[in-house]
Amino acid sequence: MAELQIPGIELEYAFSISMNFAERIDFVGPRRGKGYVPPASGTIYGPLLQGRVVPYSGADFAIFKELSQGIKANTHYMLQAEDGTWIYINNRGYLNRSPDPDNPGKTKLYFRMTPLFEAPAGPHEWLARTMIVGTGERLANPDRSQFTYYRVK
Amino acid sequence: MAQADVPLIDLDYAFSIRLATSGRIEFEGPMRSRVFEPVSGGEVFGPRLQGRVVPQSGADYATNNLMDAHLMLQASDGTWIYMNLIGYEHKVTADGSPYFRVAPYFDTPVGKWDWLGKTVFIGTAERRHNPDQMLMHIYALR
Repeated sequence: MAELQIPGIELEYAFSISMNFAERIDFVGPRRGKGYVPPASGTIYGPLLQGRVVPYSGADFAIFKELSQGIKANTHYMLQAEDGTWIYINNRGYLNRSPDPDNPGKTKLYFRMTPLFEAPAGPHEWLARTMIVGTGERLANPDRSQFTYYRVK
Repeated sequence: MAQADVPLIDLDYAFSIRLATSGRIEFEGPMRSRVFEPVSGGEVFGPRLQGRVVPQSGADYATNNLMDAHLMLQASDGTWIYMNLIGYEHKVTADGSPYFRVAPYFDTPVGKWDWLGKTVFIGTAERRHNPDQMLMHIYALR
C-alpha cells in the first residue's frame, strides 16, 4: 500500500442559508433525546442557488443522548428557488460545541452537515446528484443560524 | 453577497477503506432501482484509523444510484465500528469508469473512537475489478 497515491478533494462555495428558528423543543424519552426545531424563515443566497426556506415546511428532528454532549441533526424541509422550483432538503450531520474565542470559558455550537436534496429535472437537479457539505453556527442579535454549503468537486 | 461572508473549510485526510464486494444483485422496481452488493471484506488504513472491514457484515443497498451501505468495521484494537455510507455515482471520467463522492457516518462505543461518531466526513471512491472492490479515501471536516 506504500505507493498508493491519495487524491486530493476540492470544495467549491455553493450557497449560504440564513435561518431563523422560533421554537426549540426537546425532551428525553426512554430510549433517547429528541429535538423538534422548525424553520420560521430563511434566505438562500450565493452563486449556485438563491431562494427561500419555506416557513414551517418541516423541522430538525434531531436526536441526542444529553444535549451537552452534542446533537445528531436530521432536518427535513422544503426550499423554494427564486424561479419557483420546489426543492426538498434532508440535512444530516452533527452539532458540536467548541471553545468560544469571544467569550473565554464558554462554548459555542457549530454545525457540520452533509445534506441530501431532491429537485425536479431542470436547472436545479444537480442538487440531487452532487455531494455537498455544510458548516454552520448559531449567531445572536438577532438569534439566527448561518449555514455555508460547498459542492464537493 | 460578498465572498467575504464565506468561512474557510478545512479537510484532513483521515483514512482509506478498501471494500471488497461480491455477488452484486440489482433490479428495477416500480418506484426505484435497487442494488444489493454484499461486502466480503477489506482493510482500513491511514493516519487516523487502522483495521478491517468485517467480512459478510453488510452491503450496499443503493437506490436510484444513491449508495446506501451499512456494514461493520473493526479497529486494530478490536473496537467494533458501524458504518453507514451514502454516495453519489458519477459516470463521466476520461476512461469511462465511474467515480463516487461519499459521506460515511459511524457509530462506535464511548471511548477512544467516539470522535468518529461526532465528525462529518466526505470522501472519494473508485470501483476496481479483479477482484471487485471499492477504494475510498476519507477526509474529516475540521
